[in-house]
Amino acid sequence: MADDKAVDHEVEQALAALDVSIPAENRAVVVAHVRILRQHAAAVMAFPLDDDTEPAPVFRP
Amino acid sequence: MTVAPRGRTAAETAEAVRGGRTSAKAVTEAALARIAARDPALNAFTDVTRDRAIAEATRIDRTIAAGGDPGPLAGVPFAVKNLFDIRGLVTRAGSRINLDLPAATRDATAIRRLSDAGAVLLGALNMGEYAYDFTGENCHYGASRNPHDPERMSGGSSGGSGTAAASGMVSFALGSDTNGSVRVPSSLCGLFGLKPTFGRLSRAGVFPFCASLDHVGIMARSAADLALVYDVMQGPDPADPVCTSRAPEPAAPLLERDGALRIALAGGYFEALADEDARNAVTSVADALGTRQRIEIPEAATARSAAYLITATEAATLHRERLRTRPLDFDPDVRDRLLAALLAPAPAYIQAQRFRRWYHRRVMALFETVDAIIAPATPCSAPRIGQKTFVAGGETMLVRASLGVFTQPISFIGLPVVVAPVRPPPGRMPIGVQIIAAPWREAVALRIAARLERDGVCAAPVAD
Repeated sequence: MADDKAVDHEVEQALAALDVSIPAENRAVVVAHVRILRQHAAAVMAFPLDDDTEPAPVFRP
Repeated sequence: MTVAPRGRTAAETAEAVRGGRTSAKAVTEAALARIAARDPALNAFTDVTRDRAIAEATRIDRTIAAGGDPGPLAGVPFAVKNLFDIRGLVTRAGSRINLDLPAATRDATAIRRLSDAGAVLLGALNMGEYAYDFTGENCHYGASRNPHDPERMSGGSSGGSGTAAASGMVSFALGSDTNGSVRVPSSLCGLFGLKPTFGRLSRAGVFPFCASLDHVGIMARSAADLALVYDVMQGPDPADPVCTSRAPEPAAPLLERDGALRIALAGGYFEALADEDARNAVTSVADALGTRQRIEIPEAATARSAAYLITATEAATLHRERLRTRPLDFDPDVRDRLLAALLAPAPAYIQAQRFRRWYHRRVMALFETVDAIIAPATPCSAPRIGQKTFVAGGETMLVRASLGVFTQPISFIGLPVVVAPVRPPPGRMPIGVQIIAAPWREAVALRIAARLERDGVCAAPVAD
């Protein structure tokens, strides 16, 4: 898939920028996890929130 | 007389020690003998603290002989996930990398409080690397095995904790729970498990995973034991900035309290992704409690996505330098997820934290009409070790990432949860249900679990 190629390229660039070296066969696994992560990110980003909804970085129930 | 932890509850063992019917040393030696016999096949322990345990037990026996009070957990053997600091041991956190760190110079707060109450520490327990795991597998130390069927997963990431408590090697075990790491192994190993309200129990001296979501939790073989241990561990701790300043609220005295509770079943998302075993477990509990009301926890799937993002982003940030300098020393299953998370967009993380605020308000509104919500703990019973996917609700899911599909939306807003192990039909593996209460209402969830145990619907017998 073209999208896979784009993500693969992105992962390659990111790993190079971070100076991280992993076995070549594992890069495809990282790409798969990036895709899963982005699906979750898309679900969260699509959720409508009011402007005054503050983040909860230090959460106190 | 020798009283081993096997088959006895923590409360029964403490009572026998305090009453002079056995000694703490005899209980400790019996537990160490059981570990020696069973652990080679089950792989729960990474470190056994034999000398320390014998010394602690001897001290307790001397206190009793001198007419003193050794505490409510006198002589009760326990162990902790190996991300808790134990004085004199390196805190592995399931990793090989951490073996290069110096040994801890003091015990975690949780261990200190238990030791002060007379409990005897037997060692450190296997876990998924850096707690990023729901399986109990670990490429460095091997999988912790399910004592009900050693070919199956214990669940994770507190896998060794589940294995040790369910096999009777200890009376109870501590774990940590960020997205379900106490509740998943409790369900798969057939144990009672407590993940308290976020901030209720101190995390000082516990190796972090995701600061926004990390909790300390307990696994045991009865609801009363959970309450007994939980009560000892409560209390403010300035060493943990998240730990509440609320005074302890003992749960044990409330377990037998009468009075109707308003209990509902979680519908929608929590029904759709459950397999037959999980659905049957919820039905058994609903029938026993006479519960028919169904409620919808709003946007549970989005909550899971948000928890996933926050966890991945914070964990990747925590481990960034280790990923850069020692990538080949990680468990590849963990490393590859962490590397992916380094590419997570920052706006998504912030949006997830904003969504968390929204979701908290909406779920709190549900607790205006109910006292507790029942939901499955895991979508299925224990998969086989090495299994990568499972099918539930007609959907194929990744085991490592998705066994917590029902736990993540709950811990995301820090609600207290007790997992109660439903007595399985003959030939089936155990599976648990979550009893979810409003913040700071642990006693409500424990009360319901105790009732289900009294009624014989839930039980956690030692797995031989």
